[in-house]
Amino acid sequence: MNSGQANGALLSLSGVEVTINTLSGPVHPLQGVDLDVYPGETVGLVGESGSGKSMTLRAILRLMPPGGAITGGSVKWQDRSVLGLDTDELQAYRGSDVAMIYQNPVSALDPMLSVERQIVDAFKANRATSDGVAEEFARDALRDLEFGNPDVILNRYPHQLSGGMAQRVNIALALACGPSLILADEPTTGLDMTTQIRVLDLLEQQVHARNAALLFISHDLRAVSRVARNIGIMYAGQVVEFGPRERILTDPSHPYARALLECMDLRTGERPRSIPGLVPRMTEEYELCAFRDRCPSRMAACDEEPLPVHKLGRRRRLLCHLGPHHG
Amino acid sequence: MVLAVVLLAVVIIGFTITRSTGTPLYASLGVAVSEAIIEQRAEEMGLNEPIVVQFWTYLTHLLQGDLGVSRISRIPVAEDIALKLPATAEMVFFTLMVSFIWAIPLGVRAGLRPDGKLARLGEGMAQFGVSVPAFWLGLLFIFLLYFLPPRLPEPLGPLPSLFPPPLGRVGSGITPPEMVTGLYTVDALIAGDFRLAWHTLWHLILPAVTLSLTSGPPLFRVTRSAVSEAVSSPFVEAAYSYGLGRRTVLIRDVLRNASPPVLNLAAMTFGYLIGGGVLVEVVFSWPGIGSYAVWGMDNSDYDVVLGVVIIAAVIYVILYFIVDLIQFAMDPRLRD
Repeated sequence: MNSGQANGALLSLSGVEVTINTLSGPVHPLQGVDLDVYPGETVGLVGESGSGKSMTLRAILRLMPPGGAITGGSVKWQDRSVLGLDTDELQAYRGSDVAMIYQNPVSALDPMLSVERQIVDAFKANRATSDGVAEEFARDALRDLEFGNPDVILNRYPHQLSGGMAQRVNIALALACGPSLILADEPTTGLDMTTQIRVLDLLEQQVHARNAALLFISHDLRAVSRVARNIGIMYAGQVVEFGPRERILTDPSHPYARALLECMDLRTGERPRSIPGLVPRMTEEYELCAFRDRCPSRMAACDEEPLPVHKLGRRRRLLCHLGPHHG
Repeated sequence: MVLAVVLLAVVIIGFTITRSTGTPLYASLGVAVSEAIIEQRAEEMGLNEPIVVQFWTYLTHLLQGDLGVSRISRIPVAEDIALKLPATAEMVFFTLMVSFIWAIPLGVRAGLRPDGKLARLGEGMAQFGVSVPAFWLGLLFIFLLYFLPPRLPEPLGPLPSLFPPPLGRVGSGITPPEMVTGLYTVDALIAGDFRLAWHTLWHLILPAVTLSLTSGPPLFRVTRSAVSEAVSSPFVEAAYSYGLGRRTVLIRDVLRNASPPVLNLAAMTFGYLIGGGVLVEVVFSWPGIGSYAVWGMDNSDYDVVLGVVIIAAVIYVILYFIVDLIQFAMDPRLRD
């Protein structure tokens, strides 16, 4: 699968910028996203809503909203530029290389089509095969996702599924494409706690069983830390810190990551707090650190110099004047 | 069951309204007659019976398929309608065909590309269509196409005498096809007379285009909004993300999900035009059901007016029933 490129990454985003032209002026949801995903690994992205998590996934698939465009940086799939693909190549890349699981499971399914039709179509869109093989696959896929009675589910329509069932069908759909990377956009957000855990476990198990990589985004650090080996923290359209799960969860360096961790700290048993200050407006393009107005460790350099990139080992990166935290 | 209730309500309301508009006696006899004759005629027509008895008589006749008799022409209403309904139905049918040719494709395009040239063209046509009265547009067409072009040199003379505007269902001196369906184009084809089929189609084009331009704008707008809503649904983005192609997603997801409101409106438009195309019928001398109803109203001819109202209601109800069946078959959410 891997073609001896420099860093061996499956997917490599570098300085990705997205601009959306709206009636009230341009919005810049991504302002230089750097991110690598390696074969078979699980990466999580955490951030508040509006930090650019979902837009990052859409940039990877080149699925831009109306008026939106990737205006800078590069998206590479195994050293091939995704931004340079033509329509046919893009169609081949979507699904077979990268598939996505959506946040709102029921509305991500076409309400007019049966579960079977949707899985079969996704399966057939990515390989030359017969209906019979596709139907057999659909049945097996549902069985893999712990549907006790796949034949019943195959004949159902989206409105007849619960949220958890619909999300398992969505996972089956993404898997049906046979991708080497699965993007998951807050896949458990609308589900109740026990269903969340079940869906997460199933997702993880199926992704590993297929040796696929997983890029999982959520505002919920707990959900991310449950599945991801490496975690990135997003703020104002950038990945401000990236590193191994243990490091990010116990001793992050970026002040925003530390604040986020304190907010979500469950050990203290206190009510979650919020980070003081305003969420950054994405109508602005930030030359300097976007967090500096809220940052407890603001220094003179923060107001004068652009953000430095600290590369700390193979998989650790940090965008902050403070540098890595020690202690 | 519901349909029967709707129809009964239409009969009751229609009956009440027609009976409350005054007596048909003077219209059928003139004013220069003696009281005695009027009295005799009223007795004859059953107008002296209590209104409830009159209604009961009408209803029992109606249930036997008897729509009464025109008080002016003395021709049974059912017979007249059987003759005139196909004329209107054919015109309305072709109107919808014309609308399907312009309003729906432009609506789809406008939904997909709201800023495109075709979107603006569609919106322009829609603006024009809603702000122009249909009868005026019809007259304008006839004038521009047949009377405005200059006189040809003698001995050819003025253009209209050479190329008469296509008024009526067939030109003067042309024998209509033998009646099978009552739709002249279809009947001409059944008779194997292609020249006649083309001739009847020619006579349909102007009224159909006129009616389509004025009744098509809602179809354009509803299609546009239904498509643009479907296109921005998460399941459409999801379909792209699975590697499905543009054309597949358009047909499989977008058009399928956008079709219910469009179908509904098409049925409504058809029903509306059965009676609502009357001014265009007049302009193009179209011997349709709308002109017939107006003729009935002019003469206080109760049974004629009520007959048309009931037939129009029956057509509405049947159309809605068919559309419901189609949607039932298409949309799984309606089946539960």
